[in-house]
Amino acid sequence: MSSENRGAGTRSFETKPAYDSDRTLIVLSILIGVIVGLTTVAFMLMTGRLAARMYPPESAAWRRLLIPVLGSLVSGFLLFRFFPNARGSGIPQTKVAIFLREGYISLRTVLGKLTCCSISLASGIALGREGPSVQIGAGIASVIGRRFGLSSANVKALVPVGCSAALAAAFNTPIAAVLFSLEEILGDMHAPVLGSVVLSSATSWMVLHLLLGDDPLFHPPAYKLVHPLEFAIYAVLGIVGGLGSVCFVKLLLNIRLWFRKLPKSTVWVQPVAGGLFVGALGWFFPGVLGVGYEFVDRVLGGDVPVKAVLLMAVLKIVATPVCYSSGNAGGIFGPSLFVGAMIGGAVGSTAHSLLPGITAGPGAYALVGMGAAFAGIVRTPLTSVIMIFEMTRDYSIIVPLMIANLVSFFISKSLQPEPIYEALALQEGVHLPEGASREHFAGIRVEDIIDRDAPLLPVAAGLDDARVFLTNRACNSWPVGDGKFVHGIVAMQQIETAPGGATMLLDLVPLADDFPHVHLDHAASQVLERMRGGGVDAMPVVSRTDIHELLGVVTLSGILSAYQTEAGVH
Amino acid sequence: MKYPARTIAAVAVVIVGLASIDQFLARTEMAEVRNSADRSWRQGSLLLRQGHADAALDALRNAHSLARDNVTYELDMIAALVALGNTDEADPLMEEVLQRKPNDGAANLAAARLKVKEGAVKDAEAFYHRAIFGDWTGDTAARRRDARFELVQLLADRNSHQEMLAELISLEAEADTGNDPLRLRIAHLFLVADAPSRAASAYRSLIEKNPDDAEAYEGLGEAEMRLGRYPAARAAFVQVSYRDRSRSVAPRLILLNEVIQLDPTPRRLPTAEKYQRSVRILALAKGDLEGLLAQHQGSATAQTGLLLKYATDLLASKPHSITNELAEQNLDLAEKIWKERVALFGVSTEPGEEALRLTMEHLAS
Repeated sequence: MSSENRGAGTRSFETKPAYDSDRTLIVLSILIGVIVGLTTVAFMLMTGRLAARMYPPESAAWRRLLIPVLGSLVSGFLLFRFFPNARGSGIPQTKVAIFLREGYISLRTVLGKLTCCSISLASGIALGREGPSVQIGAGIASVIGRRFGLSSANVKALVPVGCSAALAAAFNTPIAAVLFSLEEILGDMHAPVLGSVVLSSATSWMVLHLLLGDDPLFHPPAYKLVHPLEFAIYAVLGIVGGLGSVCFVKLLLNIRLWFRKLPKSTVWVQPVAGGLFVGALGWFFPGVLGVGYEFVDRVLGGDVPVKAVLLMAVLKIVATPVCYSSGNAGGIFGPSLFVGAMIGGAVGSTAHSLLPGITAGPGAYALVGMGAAFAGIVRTPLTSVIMIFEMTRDYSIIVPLMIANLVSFFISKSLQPEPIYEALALQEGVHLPEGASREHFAGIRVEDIIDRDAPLLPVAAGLDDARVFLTNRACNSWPVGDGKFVHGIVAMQQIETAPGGATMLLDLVPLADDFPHVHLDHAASQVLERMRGGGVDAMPVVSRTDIHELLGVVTLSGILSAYQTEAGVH
Repeated sequence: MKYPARTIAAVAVVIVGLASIDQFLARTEMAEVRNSADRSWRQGSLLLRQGHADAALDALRNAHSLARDNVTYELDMIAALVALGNTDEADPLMEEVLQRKPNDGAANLAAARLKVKEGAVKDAEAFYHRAIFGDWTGDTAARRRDARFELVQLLADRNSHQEMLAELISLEAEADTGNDPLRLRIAHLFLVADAPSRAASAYRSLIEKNPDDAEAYEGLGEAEMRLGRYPAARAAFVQVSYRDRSRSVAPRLILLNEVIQLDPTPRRLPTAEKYQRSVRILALAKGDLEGLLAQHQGSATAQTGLLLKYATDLLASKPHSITNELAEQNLDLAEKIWKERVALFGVSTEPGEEALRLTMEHLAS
């Protein structure tokens, strides 16, 4: 187990909160956008070019078998010996870092992910590059945050910033990247880091454009709805996409479980099983190797026979779970899109041959199928709609996309309730908070937990009286004021270390405008962050129009009991 | 607020390093992709020119997928799709190209060809005109002219002679006076456009410039024939036979001799000769119709019966004195028989009947 794992849940890396300010976060968001954008572009170019050299389409069949085996052997050894946290996709690891490790991702993991994924993807392992990019981006953000001495709360806040920057560059979809960071990584569409996430996504996207121009990842033909009856066919596509997604996810989880039961001593060699399997398939069907976006583009163009499309869908649904579960480094975003395109292409071809007069070509269905499979496998329906929209830049595809995505999402959710990343983390023994529960806790607001009758500590109170007051309240700090007029907050430590001349609270708490405070509409999570930032366990709730006007007091114990009550109910 | 200087320096170094790596990788990638696309395009366009559109399409697809911003690759791919009749796939691609380059001459020419394949001739004509007035690279005048010639060919195939003539007049006006092969081609097309007097004029100007141009003489002969000026046509064909023996104009000369010997319209033709010619014409017309009626039993009408009977009577009669009126009477009847023949069996295309056809058309005009 690595140092990263050993410190799980308890690690508190050294923090120097001197630079924690909005301005710092903005600057760092831009910086992260630039660095992550540059890294992601380099990663994509490197893996793409290496793959083109390692197993070009016209190469001998033995190469297509040997290269994946060798690649998985080398990356398997590196993963086992040096970079155990770089295994797999990177999304569950990123979520673990955010929710359990205060946003900590080591530089070693970043470098390991970059190296191992480059090797495995360049050697034809049937995994994607986008998931790893997300972990690399998150890791870079985490490293930069720490190097700049940010508090652990702010380092944690920077992790989704790195994620969105990576995804914006990897998919050339800046809006979807923002949504993915909020919808999947944070599970909170109202997260306070929205501004930073948007900033880094935009910056990274600009870097991508400066380097590679405005070429979308896929080049589908212009979408056209031929007949309203097509909406029904898109719903059918949603059903097929949902079922395909469930097959994919269940297969992946079950194979992974099987691999996990093998002796620990075989872990380093397990990836070879994936390499051998995909290599054997690649011997006969070269299209199954690697990310396979060229083949997706052909299917989007509608010039691949339906039998070939169906075959590739089945092969990829099997090959990716074997590659992933055997411990190779790589993601499942790309394969999800691949599988979706094949399913959509097959449905579209069938529909077009049966009802040629009222259906568009198979390319349009392949495109919608990509979104449906993404929504079914990754379980981010909103992100998938926006992502496909951004890829096509065609507004008219939105409605079919929404239909297919939502149908696929609900089918996938009802047949496989546990989302894939949570299920993967669970297999590791990690209980990630589900999106629903995170949203739920975010739903507790100050107005739910405020004590409106709590009195202020009078400014004229003596220090001994204040000490007794705090002891009785079992708090280390309390707002100080006069009637309903707040002066500031006094902490027990201030009273204990008061200078000799100080006799009353007024001597310790002068009238100020920058004391820690919250408002009625704040979420409980924000209160906790402010309490942590201010080093207090009670805070005045003040009016938004007058910071000195007391509305009540919130305490740490009040918030915790509210969380407990809510958790009990749900 | 102070930031750690060493960290900032390290970040700056990382950015510069990554940017350099990216630049290198991006350039390498772009160069390799461009080369690969170019190779595929060369292979594809060669196959396309050789008529192997199916094989060409794969290579051109590959070129297009590697360099999507290259309009030339995309247009060649569309050409391959059009050659294979896959207009469904070509249509959206064409639309996309035209959105990107609405004034591009090559793109509009490709769109015109696509529309021709789809049978949308009016749309095709519009695209041809956009191509003619569009932006071209290289020899703009030649490209525009080629596009206009292609449009002329389309109009010729559709027998749209008026539109064709309009295009040819523009071509003639724009044509370089020193470019004889081009002017000769235009003159030929005037003939196709059923504008023999313009054709004759164009050939004459070519002959003026180069009196040894046998092809121009031959064209002139054809034009004069169309105009019914048979002696002038014969003179032109004789010039061809003097200048270029490889050109087989003997059949034309034989035909023209026949027509000239049949022609009853020359001024100062003696009445007796005119009458003899009218008798021959009437006999030929009668024989022609009778032959056809024998081939197509049951086609005869009361009118044909009457006409043929009248002709038989006239031909059998021995007039005491030969007058111009008698000749005109014969010719008038011959015309009526010819009209009946055309109404029943269409215009003759048999080489053996060409002299009669030309004579009758000449009389009608």
